[in-house]
Amino acid sequence: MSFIFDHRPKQLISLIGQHVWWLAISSLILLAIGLGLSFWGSPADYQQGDTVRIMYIHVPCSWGAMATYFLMALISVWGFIKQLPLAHVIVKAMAPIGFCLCLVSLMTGSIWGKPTWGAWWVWDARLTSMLVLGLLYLAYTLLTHNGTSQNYKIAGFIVILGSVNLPIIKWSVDWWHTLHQPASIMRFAKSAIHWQMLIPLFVMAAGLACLSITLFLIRLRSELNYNRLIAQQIRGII
Amino acid sequence: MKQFDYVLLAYGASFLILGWAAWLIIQRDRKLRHLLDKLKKGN
Repeated sequence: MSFIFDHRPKQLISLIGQHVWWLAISSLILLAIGLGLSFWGSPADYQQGDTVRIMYIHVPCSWGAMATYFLMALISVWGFIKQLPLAHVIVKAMAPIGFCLCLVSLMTGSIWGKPTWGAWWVWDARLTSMLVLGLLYLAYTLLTHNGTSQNYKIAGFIVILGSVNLPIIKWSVDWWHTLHQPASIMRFAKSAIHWQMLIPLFVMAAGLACLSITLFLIRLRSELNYNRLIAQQIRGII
Repeated sequence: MKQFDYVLLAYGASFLILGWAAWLIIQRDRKLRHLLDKLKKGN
């Protein structure tokens, strides 16, 4: 984390310019391979049939939405402790990407639910806690949109308090009786999924992770440039 | 709807959302860099 904070904004902008291209190309290659494997390189499920292929986009997006929020909470805490304004800029750059991942996770889950459960939506513990995560992302994005430093502080506290929701999402399927299936990959025992399905899942996860990092870096550059522009305008007025 | 139609709907909608978000992010970045370049040249 200190790697980012050690740089000045101008250095950071040029560093992003150097690395964003190969990250973007890697994400496109990985997503193309992942899509090929998801559609043609993996078998249909013996019970769910072809609908199981939704898993290859739904699960990585859910992981991404939760991991992004976890990092946002961690960086917010770090920012408050060390009094780093850059921490809030980084968290602001991450929020819309996390929100999009959460939205895709909810939407693909809903589409998967219709042929599997017979309903687009149920007020299940996992689905509801994921919806709460989406609302937390939305609240943060709205609060920091053209916000003052006071808004950033309030939004930072919301992110930290909202991180309580992360273990609820993870273990909701164990704590309550839910329609959503229990964990089959991220669990202490051996994975319950065959390697033919695990490979496309991890390739898609890597592709989406690369895409998220690329978009985050572009967002961060935008935020830093926006702050430079505001600073220049203020200097011009003074 | 057949099973495969749900799969296509899920992937189509996902890439539409992610693509739209990426386009918005890239456009904002380009616009801001263009503005800063213009200001630099003006000075």
